[in-house]
Amino acid sequence: MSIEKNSGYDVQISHALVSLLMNAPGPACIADFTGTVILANDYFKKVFHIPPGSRDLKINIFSKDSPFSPAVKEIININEGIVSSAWKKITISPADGEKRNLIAIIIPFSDEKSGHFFFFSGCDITAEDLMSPEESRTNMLHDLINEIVRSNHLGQHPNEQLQYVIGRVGKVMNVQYSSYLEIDENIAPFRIYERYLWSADEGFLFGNEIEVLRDDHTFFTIFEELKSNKPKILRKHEIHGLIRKIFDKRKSGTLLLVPLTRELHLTGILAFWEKSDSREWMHPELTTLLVLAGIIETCCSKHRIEEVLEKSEQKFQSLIDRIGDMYFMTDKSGLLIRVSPSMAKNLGFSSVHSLLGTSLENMIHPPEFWPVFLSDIISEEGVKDYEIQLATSDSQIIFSSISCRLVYDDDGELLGIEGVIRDITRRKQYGDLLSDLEWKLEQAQKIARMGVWSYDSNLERFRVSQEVFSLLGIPKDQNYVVFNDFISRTYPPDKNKFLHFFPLTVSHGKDFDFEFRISLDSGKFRYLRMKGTPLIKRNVIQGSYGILQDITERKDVENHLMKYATELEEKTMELDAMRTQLLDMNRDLDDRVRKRTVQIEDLLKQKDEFIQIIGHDLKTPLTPLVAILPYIRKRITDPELGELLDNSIEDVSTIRKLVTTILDLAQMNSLYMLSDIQEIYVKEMIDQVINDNAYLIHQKSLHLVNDTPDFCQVFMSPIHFETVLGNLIGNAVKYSFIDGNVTINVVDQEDSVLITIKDEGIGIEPEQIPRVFEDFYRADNSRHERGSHGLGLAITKRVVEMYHGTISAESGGVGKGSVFSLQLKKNPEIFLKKREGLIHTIKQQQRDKNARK
Amino acid sequence: MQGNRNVMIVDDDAHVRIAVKTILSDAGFHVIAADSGSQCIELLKEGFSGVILLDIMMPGMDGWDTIRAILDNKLEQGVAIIMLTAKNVPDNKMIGLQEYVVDYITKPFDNEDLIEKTSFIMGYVNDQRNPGTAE
Repeated sequence: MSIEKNSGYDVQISHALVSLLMNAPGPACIADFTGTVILANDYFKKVFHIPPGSRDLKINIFSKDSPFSPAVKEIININEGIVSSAWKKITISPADGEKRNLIAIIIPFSDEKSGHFFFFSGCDITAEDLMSPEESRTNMLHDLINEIVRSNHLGQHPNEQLQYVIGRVGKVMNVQYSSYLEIDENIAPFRIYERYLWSADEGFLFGNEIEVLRDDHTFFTIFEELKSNKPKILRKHEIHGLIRKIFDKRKSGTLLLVPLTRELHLTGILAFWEKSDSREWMHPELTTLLVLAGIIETCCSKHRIEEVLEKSEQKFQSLIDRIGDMYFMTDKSGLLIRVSPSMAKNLGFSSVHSLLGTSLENMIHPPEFWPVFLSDIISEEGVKDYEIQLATSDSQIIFSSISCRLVYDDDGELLGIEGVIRDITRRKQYGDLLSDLEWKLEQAQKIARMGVWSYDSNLERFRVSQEVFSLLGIPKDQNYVVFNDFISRTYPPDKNKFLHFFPLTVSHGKDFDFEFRISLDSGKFRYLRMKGTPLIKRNVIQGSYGILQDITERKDVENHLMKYATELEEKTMELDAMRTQLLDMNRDLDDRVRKRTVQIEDLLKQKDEFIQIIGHDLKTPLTPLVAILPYIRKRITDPELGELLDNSIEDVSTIRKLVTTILDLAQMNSLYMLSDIQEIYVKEMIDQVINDNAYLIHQKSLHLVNDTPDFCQVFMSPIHFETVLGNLIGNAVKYSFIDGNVTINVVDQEDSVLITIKDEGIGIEPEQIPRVFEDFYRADNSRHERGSHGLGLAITKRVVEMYHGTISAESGGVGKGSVFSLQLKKNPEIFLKKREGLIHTIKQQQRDKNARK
Repeated sequence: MQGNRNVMIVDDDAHVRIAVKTILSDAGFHVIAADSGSQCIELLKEGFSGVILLDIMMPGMDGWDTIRAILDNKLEQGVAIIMLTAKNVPDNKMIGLQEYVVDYITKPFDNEDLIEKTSFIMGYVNDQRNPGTAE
């Protein structure tokens, strides 16, 4: 804004400053550094009698004519050149003669172009100044009260607002300190907290904690007086104890205490500390303070109550949220206005909100039941454990138990129904199951002839199952059983047993298990078994419980068994005696057998030796006979003599064979052998044996197959091998029918060789098979031929066994052929070592011999 | 046929000696006979070399004793021993001497077998005496 100034030059002054100037509550102007007024408001012009709108101001605020000059001079020290903003209460006497009290404020500001300026403002406080200090303070307190009541800030933010109020009041009251004393009567010794301590000099200070002992009599008296809701003024010189110390510390003379009370309880105190010890407060002022205190208390307690309410509401809600049972509340018309989440869940609603607003009526199943239910509630003001069925949103039925009541407000007006529902579907199922089980148990008890009992030691009564009645023979119309019912029926000799065992559970907490008899009308006994254990509830023995079982049958069986056991024992003893005798006899027999065995072994040895000698003595003369006779035969030309000699040669040959065989057998018996064990080519040896039988094979037109793999070898004496194979193949040939097949099969196994000789000949009777390997056995006497003496297979078996081999015979029966199986180890470790060279020689010999053939 | 054809039959039984001598002589061998082990030693000392057919069971000095005597007198050079036996029973005496026995012939024997074995062992003796000139 460009303002034309009286001095003739323009000054740029900001809008904000001009606006401030125009709206100032008293005379205000802007002056340059010389004090010449550049701009002024109408109030200012009025003071200096300048018509409004006039621009010709011609006033210097520093001049002696100016009504401001005394004040201005006082607050501005121009000479020092230091200018700061300042204020001063001044009195001016305008031209109309009426004195005005002003607050004069001077604020310097500067402009780069135009230099220093002053903003001068006055605030007209004449009206306030005319009032007494008490009046104005009271007025201000009233304003504050109005403000508090209107804004309700104190109710919403009690802590911040209380601080603000304490500060305001302190300022209004023009005291040294003001504070709020909070009293917590819940804590013993109760404490006073000094909060929101405000100081006229320093503003808000941290509150002290004033701890007051209960036995501080001064304070106790003061408190009691304050409870009557009257302000209390304390003077330093009247006070002792703790408060006096605070007085000293704060250099105070007077303390005004204004109580905040609720129903004769002191909840807080407004405290005002004054320096002088003679300050007085007028009645209206104190009354206003009490009103203020009352308002503060109301606001704060309202807030507290709301807080508590909110908390309990939250608690309630969380309780509802957490309970497994369904909680609900309806309005008057039966619409649900509050339900627990569990209710929504159980009834198949996705959330609590989707359930709210529906009628409780819709939940009841069947719907016809609703009026009945409702009338029951209304007539009884509520129901407890009311069993009812509820239908869920997907039409499932829930068995439930409802407890609910009618709810009224404070004026007795019906609000609705409130209650809890418990899902007893499970319980219902369990209940059914339980009654089913009970029935089964009863049946089982009947079958087992077993009853169940429990004894209450306080009532001295038994509770028993049906079976006990029948076991004891008590009429069924008797409801309970007492101790005497047992005792009176017990067979007298067993009574002591009963009296001894039964009290054990109650007196000593011990289990018992005993048997006793009761007399029946028929004169017989019934054996009963009673088993019991203490019934302990809350660590106190309340009685006992157990079973009662009919064991008569078992007893009978036991008695029978006892009888048999005794008999059995007698028999056992007899048997023992007999066994001892037998043992003695056995021992005698053993001795005799052992002696006889030794004798037999001696005899056998003698026999072997005898045969050895006989054999040798036979062989020696046979040798030249066998050698010479063929030699002579060659020289004989006379056919008649030649034939006779041929017969002799044949006879000698037979004798030789017989002697050799007998000696072989004797040798086997004594388990000696000629030690010319060597590697034998099985195929070659078998061929040789077949060759030896060639005449008979040809005569019978037999088909022999030697199915032996090449290079198959066993380690054996060739003599023994020839003996074994010669016997087996010889037999096969001998007992084959004309044009029959004989198959010799050899399988080369890992460490053994399996040889089978199969013929289609006369076969063996099944019952004879085990005997074919016996000495001097001949399957069929009619088959007796020359040269057959029934020793072949016996010798064969011995040889095979000597080499740790096995031999067995099979036959389909008479006329169905036989199979002899022979298993020979490739390396039976029974032989004596021979010089390598010699083995080589003999092999060579063998090969040469074969080559020559 | 080249080489040695000498055979000595040592047996206490005269019939056996005659039989062996008859058969082997017929087969072309030069056979001398001894009726005991001691006579066998005597003949060896006189310079016999060839095949000895030695009976085991003889009264007094038996076949095994005879082999031991041959070894004791270091007369084993140029001889090969075939044991002639009527019994197949080995006894303790043979232990350690077996390796000096080239073959066994069991009494009573087949003539062919006797001739065959004797011929074969004779070849063996000749090889030993003249190594490198075999066949």
